[in-house]
Amino acid sequence: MELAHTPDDQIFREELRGWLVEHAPPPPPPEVGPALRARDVAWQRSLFDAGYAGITWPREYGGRGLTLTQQMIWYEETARAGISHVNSLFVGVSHAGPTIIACGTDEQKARWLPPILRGDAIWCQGFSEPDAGSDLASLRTTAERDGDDLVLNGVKIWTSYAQIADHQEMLVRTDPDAPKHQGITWLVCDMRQPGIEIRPIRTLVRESHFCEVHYHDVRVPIADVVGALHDGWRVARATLAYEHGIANLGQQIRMSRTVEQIVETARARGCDDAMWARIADARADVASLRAMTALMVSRISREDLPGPEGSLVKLRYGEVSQRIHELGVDVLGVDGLEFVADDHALTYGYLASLAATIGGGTSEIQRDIVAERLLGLPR
Amino acid sequence: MDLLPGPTEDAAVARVRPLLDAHLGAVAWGRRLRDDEPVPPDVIARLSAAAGRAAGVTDATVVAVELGRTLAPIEVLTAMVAGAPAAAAVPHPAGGFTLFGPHDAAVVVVWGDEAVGLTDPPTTVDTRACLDPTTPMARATLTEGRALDGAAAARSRSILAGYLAGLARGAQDLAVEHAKTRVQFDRPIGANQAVKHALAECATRTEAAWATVLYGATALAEQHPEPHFWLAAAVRTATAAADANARTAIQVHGGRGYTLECPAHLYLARARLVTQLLGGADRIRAQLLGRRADGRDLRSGHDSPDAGRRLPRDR
Repeated sequence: MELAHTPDDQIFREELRGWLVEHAPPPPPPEVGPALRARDVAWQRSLFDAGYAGITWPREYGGRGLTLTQQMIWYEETARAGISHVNSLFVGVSHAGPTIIACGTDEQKARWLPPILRGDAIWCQGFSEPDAGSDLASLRTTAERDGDDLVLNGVKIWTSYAQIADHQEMLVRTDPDAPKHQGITWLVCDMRQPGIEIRPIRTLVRESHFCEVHYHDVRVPIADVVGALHDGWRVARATLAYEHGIANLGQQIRMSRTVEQIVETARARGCDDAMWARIADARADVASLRAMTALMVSRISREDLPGPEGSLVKLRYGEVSQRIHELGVDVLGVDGLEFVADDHALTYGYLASLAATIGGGTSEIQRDIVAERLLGLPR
Repeated sequence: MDLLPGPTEDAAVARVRPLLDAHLGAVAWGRRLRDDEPVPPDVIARLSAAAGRAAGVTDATVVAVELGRTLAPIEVLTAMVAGAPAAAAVPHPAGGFTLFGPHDAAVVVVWGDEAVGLTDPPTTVDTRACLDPTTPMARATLTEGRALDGAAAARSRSILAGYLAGLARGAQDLAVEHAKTRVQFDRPIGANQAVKHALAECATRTEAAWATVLYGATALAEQHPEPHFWLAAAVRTATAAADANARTAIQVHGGRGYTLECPAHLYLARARLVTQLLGGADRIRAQLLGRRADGRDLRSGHDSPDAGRRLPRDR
């Protein structure tokens, strides 16, 4: 058992910390549009040029080939510098990229991976549909074979940053007669083509990064299918395990800053013993999340693939996130009613935390996964 | 960085596990509770010797998790601090001490707020019935003892945190097993989301406690920045997990969970007992607030009160 980092890890941390002092990006503009895209791709490009993109990715595709511990340090240090990891780069860097590394052909890796790391391409995700949320495998967007192409028709929802994306990782139904988990294909759709209609959705934090995307006879070459045709569910599970696993690490680390922000607010405004008791618990909660993350990184480092334990961290994260942000607005008293459109503000965090038990698989679904796959309870 | 137990910890666990599985499983506890039958003294002696060989903080903490999981008696836990089976005591607010475990043990381990000491057997004993029917309890007078140094005191608290994380795991295992085998409405009750989700919550709390306990023990071993904050976080997380999982275990067992011979209530009572050894929930929270790198109390920005002000001594 050891927490100590190797000398290499220490050097990596110190160099990154120093670099961030000079190179931290400006805060993102409030609207999803060209200015946001320009900011995000410039940030990714500067990471890439400095050797801080694709920490664990293979070297031949522009990655650094470093360890998961160094990836964790990257999340810690960028969060420490106040940089949010939830941006338009997230799907490419933390989702589509790792899936392509796991399941793509050499040609696909060479074609798609380097542009993700260089910031040349923004990716979005098309998994959920209006009638396929928790029951994702019931998705109905069709892809019919026509020569060397698949022709897509249907609707996807909760697609973040579709407005500014170049590519979309998608799950579509290629065999309507097969059992629902077996007729699904994972493919990459070019977002800059006719037949794609993007409708932004206003969320309760009054921004519009989520979209509903409609497809009318949209063409995707067969060469852009990742994994085998009809084998998309297996490919998606790799992606989802990753999402439940370390992809949320940055937000977890960031939450410890929120707790200290609450401590400062409580000291400045004053609060009673009952509130201080909740603050004490919040400090323990955020510490426990960090420890869970370290334990998960230790497990993945030994066993190579994220397992269902990722759902434990996600469950805890959702619960702790909501408890801490509720504490934040309670400490603010009546000022907790003042909405501030800045994701560092406690009231914004309070509303945003309501998504923590829904996005990426609801807590109810996570509990099913834990109960059935970890505890062995009957379905 | 690798938080998982390594060869040293695995070897320490391997020394106690066969004894625990042979003598302290849920079935054995059921029989003992029904027949009011104590754990045989030779089992306690052998277990204490095996557990006591874990001399460090990480190996001892991981062994304590196993002790908690199997509800090992309190004198086995204290043996890891005292070197031989011992009683445990905490100062009583009205004066004197409350004693847990065998009254005639040669040594008593006294847990103050932060300081921990060893004393001789009590000079007076006033026996009380304990919430935990398998643990003797008394109000007692103790003579002044010798305080453990800071590292040994912190190690003893990490051991208690480990034991609590083990209680959380043991209660969860008991409930999961019942949910798989108890059939109502023609199917195992664990097929119902109301039950399986409650158990998934147990698993989440157990994982949080296990991770934080491992982190705290490792932070102490390495003198990682703020080891005492991490220890307090481990204590708080494990306390909450042990308490909530024990209550879930009782509920999942239905009517059987309300009987004396179902060990679920032992997990609850033992969790409350060990939480008191650690100073109780309020004191644990104060440690979480007061432990910052600069030693200042977060609430006021002033210096924390002297952590050792309640050293065990005769009153």
